[in-house]
Amino acid sequence: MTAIIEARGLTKSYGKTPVIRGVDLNVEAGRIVGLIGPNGAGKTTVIKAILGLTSFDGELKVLGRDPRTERDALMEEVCFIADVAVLPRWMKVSQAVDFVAGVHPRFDRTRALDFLAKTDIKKESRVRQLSKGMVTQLHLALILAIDAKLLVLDEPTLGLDLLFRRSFYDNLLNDYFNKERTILVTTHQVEEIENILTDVLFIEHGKIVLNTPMENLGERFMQLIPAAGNVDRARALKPFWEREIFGRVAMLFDGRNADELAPLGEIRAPSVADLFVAMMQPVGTAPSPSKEAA
Amino acid sequence: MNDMIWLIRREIWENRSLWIAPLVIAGVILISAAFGGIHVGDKGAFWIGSDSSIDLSTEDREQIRNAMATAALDKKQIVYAITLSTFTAVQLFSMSIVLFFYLLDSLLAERKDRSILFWKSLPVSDTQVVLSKLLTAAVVTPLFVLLVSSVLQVLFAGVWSIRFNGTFLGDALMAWDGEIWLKLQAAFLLLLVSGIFWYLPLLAYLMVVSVWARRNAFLWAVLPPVAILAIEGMLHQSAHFAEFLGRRFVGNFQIMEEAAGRMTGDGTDGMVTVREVFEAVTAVFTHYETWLGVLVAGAMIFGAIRIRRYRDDS
Repeated sequence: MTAIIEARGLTKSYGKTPVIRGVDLNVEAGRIVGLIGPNGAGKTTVIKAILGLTSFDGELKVLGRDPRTERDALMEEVCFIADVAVLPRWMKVSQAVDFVAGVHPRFDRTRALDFLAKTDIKKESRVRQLSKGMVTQLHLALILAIDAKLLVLDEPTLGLDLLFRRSFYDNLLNDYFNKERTILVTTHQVEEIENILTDVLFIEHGKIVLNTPMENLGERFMQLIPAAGNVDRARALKPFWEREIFGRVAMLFDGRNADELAPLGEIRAPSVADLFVAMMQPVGTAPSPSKEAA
Repeated sequence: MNDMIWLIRREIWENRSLWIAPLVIAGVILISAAFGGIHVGDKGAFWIGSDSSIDLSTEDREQIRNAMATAALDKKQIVYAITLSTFTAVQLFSMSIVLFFYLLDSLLAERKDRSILFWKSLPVSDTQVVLSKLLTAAVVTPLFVLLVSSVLQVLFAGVWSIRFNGTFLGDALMAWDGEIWLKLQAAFLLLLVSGIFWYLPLLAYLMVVSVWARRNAFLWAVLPPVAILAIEGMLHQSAHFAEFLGRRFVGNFQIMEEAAGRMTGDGTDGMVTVREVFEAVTAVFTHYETWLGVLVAGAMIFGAIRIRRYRDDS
């Protein structure tokens, strides 16, 4: 497998405020990587560095190129949706298709038109006349018709309703299975994408705090709901997070064996969303329900 | 090359005033030529507008009629050429206003609506994008405006010859001559090309302001020069900056006038020949100030490209 993105010690400050502090990344070909972090964690800055949209320090190679100096060549093989609704509002749908077909050597017009035919988007409409969901559909139609090796999506479904979000990821996934692609996606809606990811990266305060393939997630992390009376014994095994749900305690363990935990109560694999919440609020900082009530 | 054509096409899609404005002006001129308030009465009287009628006495009428009848053909042609040139001049003046606002917005609008993130996701370089905007302003639009003006002149001549056929106005103005028209176009083309080179630093300045400003590009473009003028005036009671600016605005005309003064002329008084225009334009192209300006413009365009490439405020 070849590395699509390789970063070593990526750093970036705005003035004296550091936004990314030594990020190391390795994204292999064919992966779907979710870059997940709270607001202001540096997600977008990492993405912008990868796309050559911002300056940074450290080493970074995307498809073997330096985005600082080889951005123009890079953009032939990298596609991105940097944000929802950045398509120019004056543009007609047909003009958008014509223009991308005109300047992008890897654009397949038929594919884009086929995709658009399945939507309610009219070719003569201007972007400003489309709903936010339709603009995203149009953008996706343009991007998916490009035979790019790397697809970067930064909050691609922000502000869209559930139906559009669902169809967005369905389309993305269908396309992924048809093509040799690598996808890097950031989003707040963790629950919606965790089923499509192959890898997950957590970023917090400009640092990668978790970087693991999804298949290892279940082995490494375990959620335990200890039976009554076993809570203290479970705590002795040092959960890195616990919280009270419906009067029972749920604990998350890192690197504990299922055999160790199973006798203490119910175990299951935590969801990415659970893990995210837990890792962003380590023990002690998590607001417990009882405190909130008081 | 192919990318450049698409990029220029995108400019024309987005900035429709570039081509609508000259067409509207041409339309207005043609409509007023066809239906405007210039009337010629049965007996040769003519008046402009309905209220401010010029009621000529029979004597005056006769005088005008005689003057027209005896005037040499080339005199009539001069009047005619001047009339036609006015339209082109109006078009070029309106173009400079349209281009002023186009350039000020050219690298700012895409950041204001954040569509720059879309443009930057495509494999076109910042150099190509900035140059496409410069070419749109310095080549595509001027050539289109000149073409519209040339066609307008022909249509105007047609409209007037039909409308005033047989009247003394028709007699006075219908000195249409294809060769003169063609020479007129050649002269305007030469003047336009030299004008573009001369004004290149002004175009580049507007693009730098556009790529630099976060908003209010108009103020950023106008206030600094005004401030320099004011400060220099107050501190030194001098006006070197004003002279410098004035020279950049009309210097090419001054150079052409000097050149014309050196020329002996070839006998036809009044009518400027294409050769004379060519020589005047040559004087502009051989003047060091023209090329100094082009050099400065090049540096500013280079700066605009760098700023667009590395600026990060999206």
